[in-house]
Amino acid sequence: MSEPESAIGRARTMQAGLAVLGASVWITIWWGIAVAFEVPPDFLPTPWQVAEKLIWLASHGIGEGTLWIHAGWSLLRFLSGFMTAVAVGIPLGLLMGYAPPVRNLLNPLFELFRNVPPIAWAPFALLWFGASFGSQTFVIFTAALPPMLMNAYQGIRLMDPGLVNAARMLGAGPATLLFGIGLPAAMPLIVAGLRIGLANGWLALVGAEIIAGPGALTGLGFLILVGQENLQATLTIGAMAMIGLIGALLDYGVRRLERRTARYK
Amino acid sequence: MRYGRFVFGALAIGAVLAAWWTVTALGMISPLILPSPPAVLDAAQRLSDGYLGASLLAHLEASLSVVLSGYLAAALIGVPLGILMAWARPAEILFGPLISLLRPIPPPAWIPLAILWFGIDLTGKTFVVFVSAITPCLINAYVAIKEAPPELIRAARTLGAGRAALLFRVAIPAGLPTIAAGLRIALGSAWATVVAAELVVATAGFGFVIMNGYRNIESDVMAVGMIAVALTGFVMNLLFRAMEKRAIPWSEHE
Repeated sequence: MSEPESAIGRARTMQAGLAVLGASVWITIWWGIAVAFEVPPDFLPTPWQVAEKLIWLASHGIGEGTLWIHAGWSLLRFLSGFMTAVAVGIPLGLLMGYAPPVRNLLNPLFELFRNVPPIAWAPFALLWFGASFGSQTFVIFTAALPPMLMNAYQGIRLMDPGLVNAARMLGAGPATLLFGIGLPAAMPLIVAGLRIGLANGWLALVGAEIIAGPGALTGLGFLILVGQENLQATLTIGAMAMIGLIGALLDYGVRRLERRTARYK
Repeated sequence: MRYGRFVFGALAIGAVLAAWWTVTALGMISPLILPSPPAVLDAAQRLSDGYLGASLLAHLEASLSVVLSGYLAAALIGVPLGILMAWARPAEILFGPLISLLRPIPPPAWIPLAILWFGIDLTGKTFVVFVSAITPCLINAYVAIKEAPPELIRAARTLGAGRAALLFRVAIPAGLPTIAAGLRIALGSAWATVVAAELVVATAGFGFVIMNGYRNIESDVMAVGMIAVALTGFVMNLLFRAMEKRAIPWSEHE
């Protein structure tokens, strides 16, 4: 290994060390506040009580099942809304970049509907689809669609016109133009759109699960609500931590994809 | 070009309105599920006179007061903290991990905890709005200072600027457009969050209107609530942009 590389490696290790240290300092502060002021655990439990609750929940059920069942349902709902948004948003965005009439017709509609916060669709979704899978899918779809569509649309416009002309002269058809020039040029922005869509969708999932109320019986949002209604802050905070953890893992996954596609540039 | 865009816009929105009108007028969709445009106008008239003890304006006031107090607190704490973290390494080491710990939790997830901690009155909602608005304020202020143009910093240093002058007369003015962008994003997410919180529990506000419409299966009332939410968000964004343009004329983005 060459000298500068190992120096970078050492700096990275040190930064990671500082981050872990910093995080443990804050968790200790949390613990210290809970203990020093003798806060009742229904109000502010210690970090260990939250961890204990999560471990207990891993083998004991609340509502429809254990922690894994709830996390699984949340993920499934999220994926169904997110994947629908991917399947609709990216092709539609590319089409908008390709065909000006489509763009001119759809853009004003997006400008119009952009003003409605996605979570505000939740009650209508409940009315249309019932307090079930469909309504949450719909809300997540509404939240995740705009960034993916807009980024695909902006990305396809980054095509190098020189390349397009050269390829055309050599006899490339529209399919070759799209897959050979358009998509590689648009890829970094498309992946950036996926990342924003992912964060929006995950936020909307939690909102939809909480607004749907405890009637749903599954999902991490349901656990948060049960904790609040039964005055069990351990459950509420534990479920929040799980939501944060899964959200961070999903984001990490897209960021790795981002790094791989950045090589196209 | 602009004229053409306007025509297309009118065409698209007109087509959607026409489709909505036709489908509901012909009775193809039950008014319980999708209200007709005249029914929505009628409901708007009814609501502006008074709905569940308050007129539309009173509901607007309820939502706005929560948004503004939570948002202002977030801006007053988030922006200086972001600048401090970018400027002073110890502050970054101390607060960086706290933000990494809390940031992945979506703001709506805080709503039940806020109810548990503060009860169902305005304090809880203000807290959730604060949580949702502080992140963009802080992150953008941090990035603005971290990415202050090095040539400006070096030039000022050559001319003998001290550390305070570097921060207050070079880095912060250069970063103001980015900070303002963060404040604008924060305002949008504060508005979305207060509506979400009102959907869960409230006694007034637009979210409360929508949720009550849902509970009584009055889809026309729900539609009025949604339109009011969208219109208010739109106007807030417009006002912010106008203020931004006047306050930071050197901002590059439109």
